[in-house]
Amino acid sequence: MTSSRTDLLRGTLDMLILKTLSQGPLHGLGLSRQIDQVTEGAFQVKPGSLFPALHRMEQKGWIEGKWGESENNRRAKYYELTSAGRRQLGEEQENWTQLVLTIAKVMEAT
Amino acid sequence: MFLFRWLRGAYQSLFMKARLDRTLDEELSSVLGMMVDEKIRAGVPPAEAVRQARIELGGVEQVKEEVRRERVGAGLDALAQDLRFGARTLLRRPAFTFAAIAVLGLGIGATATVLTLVNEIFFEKPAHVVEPDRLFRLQTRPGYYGAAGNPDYVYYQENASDLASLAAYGGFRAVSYSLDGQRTNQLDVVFVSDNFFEVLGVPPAQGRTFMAEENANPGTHPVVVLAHHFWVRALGADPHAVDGTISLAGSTYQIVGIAPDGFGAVAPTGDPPDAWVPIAMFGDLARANGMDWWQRVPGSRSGWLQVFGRLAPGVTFEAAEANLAALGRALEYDRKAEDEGAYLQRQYRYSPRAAETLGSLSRMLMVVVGFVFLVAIFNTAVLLLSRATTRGGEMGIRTALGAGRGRITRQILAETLLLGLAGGVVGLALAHGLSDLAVSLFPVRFSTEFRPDLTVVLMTFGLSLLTALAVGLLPALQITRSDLRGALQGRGQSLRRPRFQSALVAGQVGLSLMLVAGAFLFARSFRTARGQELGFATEDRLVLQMSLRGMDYDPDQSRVFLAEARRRILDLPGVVGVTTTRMIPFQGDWTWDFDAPPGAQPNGEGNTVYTGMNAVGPDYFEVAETPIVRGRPLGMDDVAGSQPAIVINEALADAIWPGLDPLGRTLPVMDDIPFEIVGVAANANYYQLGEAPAPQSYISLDQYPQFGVHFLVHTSRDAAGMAPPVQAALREIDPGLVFGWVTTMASVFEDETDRYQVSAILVTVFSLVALLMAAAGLYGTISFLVARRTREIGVRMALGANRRRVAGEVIRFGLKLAAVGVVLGLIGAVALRRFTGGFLYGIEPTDPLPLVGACLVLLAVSVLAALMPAKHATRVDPMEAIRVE
Repeated sequence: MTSSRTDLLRGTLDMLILKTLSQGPLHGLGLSRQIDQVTEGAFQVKPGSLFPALHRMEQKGWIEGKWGESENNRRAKYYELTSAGRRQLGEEQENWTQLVLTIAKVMEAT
Repeated sequence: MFLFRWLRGAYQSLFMKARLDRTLDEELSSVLGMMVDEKIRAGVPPAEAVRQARIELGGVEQVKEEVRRERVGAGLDALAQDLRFGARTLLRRPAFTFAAIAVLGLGIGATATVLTLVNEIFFEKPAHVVEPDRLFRLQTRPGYYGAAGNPDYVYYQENASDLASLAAYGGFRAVSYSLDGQRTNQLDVVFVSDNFFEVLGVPPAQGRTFMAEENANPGTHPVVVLAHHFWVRALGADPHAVDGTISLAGSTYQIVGIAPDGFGAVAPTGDPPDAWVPIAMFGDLARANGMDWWQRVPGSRSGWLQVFGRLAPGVTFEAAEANLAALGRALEYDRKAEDEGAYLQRQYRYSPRAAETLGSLSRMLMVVVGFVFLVAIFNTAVLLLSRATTRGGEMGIRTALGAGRGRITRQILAETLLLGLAGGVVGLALAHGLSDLAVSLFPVRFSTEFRPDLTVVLMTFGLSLLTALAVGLLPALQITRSDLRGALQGRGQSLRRPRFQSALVAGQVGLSLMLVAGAFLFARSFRTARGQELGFATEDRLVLQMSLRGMDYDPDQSRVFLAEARRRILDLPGVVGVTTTRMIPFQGDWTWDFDAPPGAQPNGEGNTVYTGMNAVGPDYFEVAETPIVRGRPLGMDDVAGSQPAIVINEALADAIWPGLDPLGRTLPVMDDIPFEIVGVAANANYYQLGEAPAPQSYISLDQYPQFGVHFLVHTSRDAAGMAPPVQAALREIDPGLVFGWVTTMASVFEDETDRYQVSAILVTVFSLVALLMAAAGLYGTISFLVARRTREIGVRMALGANRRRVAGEVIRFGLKLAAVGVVLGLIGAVALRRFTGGFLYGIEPTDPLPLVGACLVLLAVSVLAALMPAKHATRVDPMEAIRVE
């Protein structure tokens, strides 16, 4: 089952990041840890995919990065959801629900 | 918003890369720091914590590369890199690069030149005119070639105001003018209605155009609008010209405005006028210019005005035509009942005759240029293919270092893209320089300038891009398919025969053959055209154009002047004969049509007879040496007041009275006045060399006076040298005479043959260019093959093969390639025979001599191209060749 931990669809990763950030600004590492905690270790977002995703979403204007102080007084880049990001989250959530429902129907039918 | 963000992202990725990278660095190091903190807090010793954090982060550089790849415009970045790399590669091989750019530049330049012509001739909108598509020409009264009299114009204008706004122009050329009251010169004036500029939508560049009251009463407002070019040329672009004055035919006119630069003739062809004057001034200016015959014109129904209009909003061309035709039929006067009323033509269209000539010449140019372009593409492709093979090793190494096939293909395309664009720039420069030369091919005077415009520039660059893609794809495929391991081991070249190259070279040879054969055909056709029977004499004939200014000449006085002038010229030593004529051959088209008289076959549209027209003085046929085959020529007795006489040529007689004697019959050429046919003249050339015999008529200048006439003087010695004494003799009669053009018939004829020569030269130059490229292609391919078979040749020579045999083999290979091309070319030439035939005079397109000649030229060229490689092949040192591997 190790593969399911890394086989995150790109869209899914975006959604997870957006969802996590909707609860408040976080820096990259915090984000990674938060997802890890919430999914109880099911998804481990590696830096190699996290940072490109953050970068892409920042260029799309969904999130905004700001330099701030971390809990241990380190300079860290905090990411915050923009209003466009909030809209995007809503859309992705809806699509996701649709997808899950549809797949569930198929699975129940068999 | 999205676009903005994308652009900002792309901008940042491309130009602020360093800053983005720095920010990313900082972020990653802060994350790394936090990870280390975390682990230390969890009790991991510091050194171990750093190690674990690094492992978890998974390589800072890789993360950075991943992030870069995500960036907006990452593709652009790679493209920029490819282009930079391509430019470096090209600069490292200047000879190759120069050759490729030159070949592409020639091909694209030739194409762009023709694009410029075709675009300008067929698609260009007239400058400054608003919505030219909604302008139409009102054609009325078939007897007058579309021109309406002034009362008719007023009638249509008043009754058709809800269909269209009508304006009119008409007039004549060559009025004398003076700016300082001393020196006189000539300018071309057009008479216009007061709304002429408004209907066209042309605003004045300075001052104003005409006002309604300036056209209300004859002779009351001597005002003039000058053409921009005239203002620059004659007034030195004087900024205070407006409100100044100019003297036209002795009267003072106020300059009220200057037309915008580039506005001229209200048609696609014809010379632009120098000045515009209200129609109401016509009588005054005409009288002042010495021809009171014209005085009755403004008030009469005799057609002299060209009426045109702009369709009212919402009115279609067809609706306007139907209504105007009805108006025309309602216009009852002296015309016969079967009058068809009025019909419309688009204003900015060529006459059918011009359109046909322009169309066929343009087609020829496009075909020739298309061939040259194809040869250029083939040639470049061969160049690139040969190079691609030698670059197998380089590409192999790059593949081994991790460059993807896509990236290598893109890289090669980037190179050819650069070549294509450079070729495009060279091509546009060529087109800019060549357009004027090429346009002289057309037997039409255009009212516009020929320069590549934005459309042509865009099309040219589009063409360059397509070319780059076409020539780049083959080598790219070849390279990416090449055997990687072999490449690395130094066997960069596969031993397959260069099939693509051979096919492309054969294609070049074929196309060149067609062009060379075309050049031979044109040269023969040109010689035939030069030597043909013209129907008039060209040697020892002086031509002197003049305008009968003479402010105090009435028609009788001008007749007296012409008679006196002829007498005095004839008295000069060295003069054999003299006559007067309105038209000079090849100098334009004066065509009339009128209702066919009873018993005559119509040769024009509907029930009309059309004929070229000329008005000539006594002795014309004798001096011009156009034989009269029946009846008599026009003579001293065909004067005003006597029975109007006309001489027609055999072509017209055969067309309208086939098998009948035309003598004594009449033609209603003017105002229903029957002109009696007194003679039949032999056919002659009138409009262009090599034309089919065209209908032509001659009437007496005395019975049909003209402003501008030519004296045609038959001299016994150097015709051009007789110009000064003839002019002096005429000035003795009137010192104020204004002369126009002074030339000889020989040079008029020369100008016309030059046009044929230009097309012959053009095709020759193009075929030479193609030939050169084909030779280069052959040479390149053969050398390439010899180079690749060096080892084989070496081995064979080591085994005792003799040098001559090796050389012969190489030359045979060249000949074989050429032979395939020659056969293809011959098939093409025969397939195109109908097309070629249309441009030839006196020679068949399948005439064997030019075709055989072209084949020989191509085969000779292929032997020449093979000689050098053959020599190389014989110099192969067996020891060296074997050691190479």
